[in-house]
Amino acid sequence: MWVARKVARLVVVVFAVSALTFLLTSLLPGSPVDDILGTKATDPVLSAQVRHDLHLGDPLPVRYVHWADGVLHGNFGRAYNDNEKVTDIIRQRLPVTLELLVAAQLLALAVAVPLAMVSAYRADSGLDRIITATSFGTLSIPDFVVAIVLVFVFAVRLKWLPATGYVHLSDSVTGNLRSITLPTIALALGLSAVYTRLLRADLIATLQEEYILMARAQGLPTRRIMLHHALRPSSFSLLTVFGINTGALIGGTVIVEYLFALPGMGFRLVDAIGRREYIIVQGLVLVIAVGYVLANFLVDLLYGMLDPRVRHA
Amino acid sequence: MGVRTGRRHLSAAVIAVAVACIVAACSGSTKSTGGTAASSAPPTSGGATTTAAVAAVKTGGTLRFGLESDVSTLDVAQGLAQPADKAIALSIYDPLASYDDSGNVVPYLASAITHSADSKTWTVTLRQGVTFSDGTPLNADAVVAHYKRLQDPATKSTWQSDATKLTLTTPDESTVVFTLASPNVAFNQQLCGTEGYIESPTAVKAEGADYGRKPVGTGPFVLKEFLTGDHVLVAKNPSYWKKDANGVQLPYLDAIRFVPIPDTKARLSSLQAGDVDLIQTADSSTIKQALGSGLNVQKVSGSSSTIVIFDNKVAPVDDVRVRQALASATDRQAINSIVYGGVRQLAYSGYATNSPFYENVGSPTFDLAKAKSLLADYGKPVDLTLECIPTPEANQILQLLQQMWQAAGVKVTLKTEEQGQYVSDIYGHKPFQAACFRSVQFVDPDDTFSSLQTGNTDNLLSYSNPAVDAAFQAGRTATAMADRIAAYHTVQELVAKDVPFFPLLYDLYANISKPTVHGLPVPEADSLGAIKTTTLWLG
Repeated sequence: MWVARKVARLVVVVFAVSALTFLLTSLLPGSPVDDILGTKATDPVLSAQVRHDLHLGDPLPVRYVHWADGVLHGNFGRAYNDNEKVTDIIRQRLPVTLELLVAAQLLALAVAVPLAMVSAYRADSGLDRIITATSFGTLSIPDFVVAIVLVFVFAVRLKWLPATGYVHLSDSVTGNLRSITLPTIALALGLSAVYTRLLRADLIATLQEEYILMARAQGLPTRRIMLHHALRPSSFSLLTVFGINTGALIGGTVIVEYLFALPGMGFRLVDAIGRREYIIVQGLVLVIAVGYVLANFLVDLLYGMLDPRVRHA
Repeated sequence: MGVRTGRRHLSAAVIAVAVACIVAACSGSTKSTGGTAASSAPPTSGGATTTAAVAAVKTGGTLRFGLESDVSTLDVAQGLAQPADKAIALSIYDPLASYDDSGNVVPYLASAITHSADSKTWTVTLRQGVTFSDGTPLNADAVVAHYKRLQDPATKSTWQSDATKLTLTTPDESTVVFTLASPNVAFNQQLCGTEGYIESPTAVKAEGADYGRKPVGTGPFVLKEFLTGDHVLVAKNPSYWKKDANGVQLPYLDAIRFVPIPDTKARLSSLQAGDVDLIQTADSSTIKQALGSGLNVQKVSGSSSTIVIFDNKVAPVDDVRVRQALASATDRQAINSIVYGGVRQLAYSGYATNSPFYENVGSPTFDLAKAKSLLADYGKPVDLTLECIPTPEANQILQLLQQMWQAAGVKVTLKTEEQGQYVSDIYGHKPFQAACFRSVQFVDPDDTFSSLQTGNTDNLLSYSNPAVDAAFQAGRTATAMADRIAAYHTVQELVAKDVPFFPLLYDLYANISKPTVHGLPVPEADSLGAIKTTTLWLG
């Protein structure tokens, strides 16, 4: 029942997002005809042809239904100028984006969780101050600045890792890991700072609870108290933000993809907006919307596992 | 909560930055009118420097080539106008004709090209025994199929209007006769560009709409992998028809891996880090950084340049004194130093400086006193709007021009408009006063006739000078080279006096390579720096 409600909500959100994208692209200044034809846009015969091909003469709802019908039949359309299939773009680029996303999130958590626990357990100690100040510092450095510095140090100077490019997992496992190392670090640094700060704050609050005092009084080891008693109830905010970031990163790694020349979704999306390839924009936004909703759906499921009261609420 | 909001702002800013980059890149390809821009016979221009192959050639190996943009199609019908498209297309296809090192048009995939006395009928004889990499023979039918495809509206080809002016007949299997709508002594140059790259008719038929992703030509390399945004891999065509001067089978390389690296600084970093062997760039600061860093830099400029255009029918720029004053008030060297790090070449003509048609005809140079006296002569206060697209580069140029013109006493209002709309407005003949534009590479000065011809819809400047029209007409019908040179000399002189537009700086392209890369040829005339890859080798 609970799951069915979530699935129904997913359908509504996907519909709303795709309809809104359709509306927004039609509100953008300029016409796709200008961008497709360039200097030939003033030719009435050619522009009439493009208008006809893109169904620009039809009312917006008709165009939407036409597109949605295609999507439901697995046909996302083709780019106007070069005939590239939108499904091909998604098939080729989504795995790259997902790999980067998973790697960055895992690295961020791997850094953030231990740091937050050390920091919270010894709140206001010297170590806590150093960790807090460092995470504040990394939060304020944009990821593209981190990326440029990483490339300069590790690729140009030390030549340990490639500066750009993506090696597919199927081609070479080490090559793949080497190619995503720098972009992963560039993305994870900012994320880990956010996660450290969130988890630290919640852990400090949890550690004030009476049952923790009780556990301490029983003489349980610190490690056990932190991992088994404090971490789980303190991870709600972290989980929420983690879920939102997962959705956001599907289309939001644009600048890192651009700087490292990674064939991911974000860069292609921005490129498509610039060139007014609406059919591509709509297809990719749909994927991002589904990703967002799924990520938050999983977060909701995890809430239920972390705290059974959620399921019965 | 605060954290979440912060990230949202950041990503919005990031997208804004990325969009700006893309638009800047797009502006490079804006097809525009250049007034009298033309690079003619010489294959390149503005001093291409080439690495001569001194050591003995080594064959084999895979060259990794960093391209400036993503490539989504390799269909010749789509123009392939970006330097990145062109770089790959030159490996997969061969043109019917090409330029030799002194810039003369010579047959390439053809074995002979001749024309009738009135230069209206051109006969192209094809090389014997050449096949496409799918085994289809290169014959007259394949050439006709290529032009038929360009003519077909369903192909949506960028060459459609050019191709429809041609009628093709095939007297025998290896001969194609082109009948032109009007005489053109320089028609053979049209066979050198993408229009003259011949694709396999079998592959076109088999692949249909997907042909752009599975191109087949007669070129030195054959497409192996094409992953948009990721890489394009081409491997040696073992049965390529060409050998070098010593009889060694071409191409020398086993394969080339083209990788798009959209960020210009990241592309140079990749070269320095050793991820790639060769990169292309149109970014002046990258070129400046690479010069003197142990890398080989092949600089290329052609006829294309950044230009200032006027609406010659709109006051106050309808008065020749005002246009001359604005040109005289413009300090090109200052723009070069501030915007381009001083690496570009100042442009005083729409022609490439090493074109046989180029001549220094005394276009207005920087002279503030002269600008002021011309304006005093005009006698009325000059107040005008200068327009361009909203890229960082264009903004910088606009602001410099504003300062320079204001120094001469002109009041200048700046206006920017999003690229698609901007191009559409200017091509739609919406009145303006002054605007910045980019001229494209032209293969022949005749290509610029329509953009300066009285009453022509391509004449965005609303310029009219019957003497210019007559000189262009003379150049078009003349058959002797000396007569053509004289005709275009007249055009340049009149344009320098009338200033319907004026060029600022020639565009600059470069191929930057590691010292291990040899055999870089002189780039093609209209290729924006792209090179044939047949003679490249690693050692």
